[in-house]
This record gives sequence, C-alpha cells and structure tokens, in this order.
Amino acid sequence: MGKIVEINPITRLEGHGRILIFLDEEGNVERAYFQIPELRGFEKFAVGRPAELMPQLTARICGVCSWAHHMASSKALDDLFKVEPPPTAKKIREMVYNAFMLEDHLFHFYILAGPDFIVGPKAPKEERNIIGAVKKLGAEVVKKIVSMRKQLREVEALIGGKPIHPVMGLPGGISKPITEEEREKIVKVARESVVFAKFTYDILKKAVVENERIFDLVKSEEFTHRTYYMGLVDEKNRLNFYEGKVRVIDPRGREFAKFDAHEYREHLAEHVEPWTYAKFIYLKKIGWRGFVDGEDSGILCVGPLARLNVADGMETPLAQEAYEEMYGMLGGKPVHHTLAMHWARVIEMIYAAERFRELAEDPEITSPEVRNVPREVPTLGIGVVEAPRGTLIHHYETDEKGTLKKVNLIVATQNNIARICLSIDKAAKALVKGGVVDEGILNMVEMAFRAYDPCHACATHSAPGRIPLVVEVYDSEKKLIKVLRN
Amino acid sequence: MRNGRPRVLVLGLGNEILSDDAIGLVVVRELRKIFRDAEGLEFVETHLSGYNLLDFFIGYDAVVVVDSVIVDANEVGSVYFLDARELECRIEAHPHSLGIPEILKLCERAGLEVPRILKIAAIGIRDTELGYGLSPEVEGALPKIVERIRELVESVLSEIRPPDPLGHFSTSRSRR
Repeated sequence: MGKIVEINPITRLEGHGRILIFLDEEGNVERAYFQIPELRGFEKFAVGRPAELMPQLTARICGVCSWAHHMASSKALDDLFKVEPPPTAKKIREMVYNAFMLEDHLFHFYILAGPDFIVGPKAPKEERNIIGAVKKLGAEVVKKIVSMRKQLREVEALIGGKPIHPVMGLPGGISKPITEEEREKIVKVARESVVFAKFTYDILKKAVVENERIFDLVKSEEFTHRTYYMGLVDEKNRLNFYEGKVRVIDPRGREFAKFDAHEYREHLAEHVEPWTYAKFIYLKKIGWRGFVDGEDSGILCVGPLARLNVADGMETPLAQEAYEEMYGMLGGKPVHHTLAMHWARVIEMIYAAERFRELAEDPEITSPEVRNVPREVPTLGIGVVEAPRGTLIHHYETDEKGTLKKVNLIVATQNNIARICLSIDKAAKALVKGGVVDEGILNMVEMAFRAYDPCHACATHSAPGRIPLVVEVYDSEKKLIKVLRN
Repeated sequence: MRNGRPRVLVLGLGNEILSDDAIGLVVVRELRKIFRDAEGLEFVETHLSGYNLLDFFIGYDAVVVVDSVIVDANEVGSVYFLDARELECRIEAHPHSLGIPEILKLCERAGLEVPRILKIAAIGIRDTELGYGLSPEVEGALPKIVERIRELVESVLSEIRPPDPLGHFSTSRSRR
C-alpha cells in the first residue's frame, strides 16, 4: 500500500461542536455561541414521496435513535390516515419503545455520566473518559452492561421485524403480532432489565450522593439555568415516552401549558440567528428575549430532567421511589441543575424497565389483532414521542393519495440548543477574563455537553466518526485570537 | 469461534439516503452474492454509528468493515485499506464519537473478546448530499471497488481459516 491516508472528519466538522466566543474591548466575553448542524434539506427530500415510507426513511436520519423517528413517524401516519391502532398494537409499540429507551439510556449513562460521576471531574484528563470509566467500574460490570444491551437489542430486532432497522410501524398498527414463545423470551429480558436498572441506580447513588464534591458540583450555580421545561405526560400527568399531551412548566414549576401535538405551532416557534443554520425553539406565548433564562424568556429545556420536572410523578413504583428521592435531595421541584440530567436519566431507566416488564406480562400483548386498515383520505398527520433526548415531533401533509406535500420535523436537540448556548455562555463568562482564556473552559463545556447529550449523529457516516469540540475566541474586531481543541 | 469454526463478519456502513455514503452497503450486497455459499461468513449492512458498532465486534474472529471516506475529486472510487489496530485511539469528549479504535480499546479493557483481525476498507467518495443512488463516478468504479474488497475478504479468510480440507469459506467463484 505504502500510501498515507489522512482522514479528516470533514463531513462532521462543519458546524459540529463549534464554539465561538466574541470578546469586547476589555477582553471580556460579549457573547458565546454554539453551532450545531442540522440535517438540512431532509424535509424537501421527503416531499413527493409516499407518506407510508416515512417510518423507514426517517429512521435513517439518525444512526443512534432510529426507533424514536420510526415511532414518531408511525404515530404521525395513524393521525394522517385517521386510524386508531388496536390496543395490542399500541401496547407492543410502547413496549418495544421502552426497551429502546432503556437501551439508549443505559449506555449513555455509563458513557456520559461515566467521566464526570464515576471517574470524577477532577481526575486527570487522560482518565476522564469512557476508558477511565470502564477501568473504574471493573470488567464484570462492563460485561453486564454489554450483555444487557445486547439482550435489549435482540428484543428490538424480534419485535421490529428486521435486525437494526425497524420495519414494524404501519398506519393503524404494526406489521406482525407476537407469539407466546416470543413473549416468553421478552418477559425474561424485561424482568432482568428491572434488576439491571436498580443496580445502575445504586451505582449512581454511590457516585453522586455519597460523594460530597460531586453532589456540590451537581448543585453548583455554574451548571444551573432557570428555564421552562417540556415533555409528554399521560392523563394523570405522569411521565410517558410513547403518548399523551405535551406539558410545559414554568421556572417555578407551575403548569404553563398542556397541549395536543396538533397544537404545537400555537406554542412553539423557531428563532433564527445569523451565525447558524440551527433554529432555536422557544415558547411562542413568552417570546424570544435572547439568550437569557428566567420566567420572561421563552427558552425551554427537554430531555430526562425536563420530563421529570413536568410530570407529577412516575407510573411505576420503583421509579416513583427514586423520583421522590431525587427531588427530596435536590430541594424540590423543579430542578434546574443541568448535571442532574444524568440522575434523571437513571430514574427514567427504572421506569422504562418497569413499564417494559408490565407490558411484556400483559396477557393482551399476544393478541393477533395488531392492525386496523385505514379507510379515510389522508390530509394532515402529526405524531409526537419522547425521544431519549427529548420531545420529537413529526408533521406531514399530503394530497389525497398520501403523497407528501409538506414535512416538518422538530427534533429534541433543537428544543435544547438555546439552553445549551446558555451553558456555554456561562462557562465562557466564568473562564475568559481580560482576554485571558482559562483552558478549563473545555472541561466545563464538555460536562454540560455530556449532560444534554446533543445528538450530532444525524445521517452522515464517514470514517472515523469523530466529533471534535473547537473553541474559537475572537477579539472585539472579530479577529481570531485563540483556538482550543479537545 | 462457534463449534471450532471461525466466524467472519463483513460489515457495510453507510446511509442509503445520502447518495455515495451508501457505497459501503452496496458493496456488501455485491459481496454477499459472490460469497453466497461460504459458511461462517456473515454480511451485515447498517447505518448505525459510534458506540452502536460495538455489538458487531463481539463474537467474531475477524471483521471487515466497508465504509466511505471523503476524498479529493481525483481520488473518488479509490479504496484505502486500514488495519483498525494500527489506528490511533482518540478518546473524545463526546460519546457519540466513539470510533472503531476506541470501541476496540473499550472491549479489551473490559475483557471482552474482540476480533483477532479487524480490517477497514474505506472507499473514496465526495457526494454525501441527500438523495438515493450513487454518483456516476462511484457507480462507474463499482466493479473495481468490489473486486478489491473481495480480495481483502479472501485474504482475511485465508489468514483466519484453519487448514480445512472441506474448503469452508471458499467462494463460489473460486470453487468454479
């Protein structure tokens, strides 16, 4: 071969994890921005195609959360063709979706929270990563994680109809029922997953609650923003990943809005900034007041912590216990600490496991009635689910044959970008003074990143799959004076 | 190893809706036809990325990853061969960014059995715009690309295969 191949992550670098810091004349931070890419053009790409293709097509938007798009899309199709799936179809969808949420959350918890909670924020940089976390957890625990994840993925493949890419969702239901033999396998995994979730909660408690330094860090002002929160709730205002109404609470914890997915445009608006293609979602009725938190600013937050904040409680007993414990220890609702997202994620894992088991044990789950055939003329369909990173909305409009005329997707990270910018601005203001840049800024930004877990994995797939963080500092004349990389 | 017989995976990475980014999937589809009778040889196509690839590395003796790489216009259609074990392991801040070398390291640290051989074939592309179908440049180079990667798979098979008089792993083409 004898040829050196230089692999630059070009396709991912553009806009990915790029942080721009602009200084004033005194060398203090005027404004810090965070650029995130969007899958531009997808909506246009989908127009003219049959709507039924969307559960498969949108599942390809993201290499990480195919299931979230597949499910939001299937629900949008139910709505589009005005057909309600039979109870068993809904239960199977919710069951597999909870298995997926658990699978996604468990790996993210160990990888995301690992560097900060398991290894510790003050550990040397070389150890503060997933490899360091693996070392600290020990090989046996890691094997347990890998094995649990594998079993959950097998359940997803079994129900999804095809390994990896789900093909189950159809307007009015799903493509195939579950046999009794399959159910037995699923129940076994579901029961084990509850034990695993509890085990993970113990690891979290040990790492956070019993470590004063980390507990203080979670509560620190540097990682706190008083914003609105949004998430799905059921009719009892309990958390639900698969269906319900979208509830919004204000920074004091009071219900601000509760709406059906169809009304999302009355509540959510998109703000555009000249320096990024990303659209910042904000609450229309509050308005865009710039990158500030508080009751007068329409900035909102979605994801695990937001979902717990908007819910009055958890539907399952162990998750409810953990929920009460977290709010008890963090001073009541709502919790505004960004790093508590990791804690909330583990509580959601318990819920996902318990709900997964509950549905797997439901005798109705093996009923062969899994599809109602659509008979209405399609016009408009809107579907919403809670993706691992927050509220995900699919909106389709078609002609009478079901050919797409308009597509709008609001993905979880879009809802969070404004709040992520707040975190970056706060870090920049704390660590850049008089033109001097403290390199600790990277660690602070990384910690906030890990909590939100902004999903960058949209679609492109070229080697080596690395997403760098780049901090660029500009002086008052917009001249680049410093570049920091992780 | 299952029943003493090595397991080899050819893993195509790519995204069907991003034009040339689908090349890894297309090549694996072609290879599946060529090696259709080979025992112990599996073919998987996926658009998953990052840590999700971990599942594919456990339980195999050898893995050949077929992916794409962005190159200059005059390099489109070229195939670059890399050994995953020779790639630099870069642990980054962002968990989605776990690449193949990082996954290997993670598995090794956890005492998980990872493939003895892990080769990467990276196909030079330029066009990753949203859309179905390969660009004419990549489409035109497809037979050559498939042939080069077929040779790689053959070489991996002969490296991993114990002396086997029954000729497991031989391709339908080479058997003719």
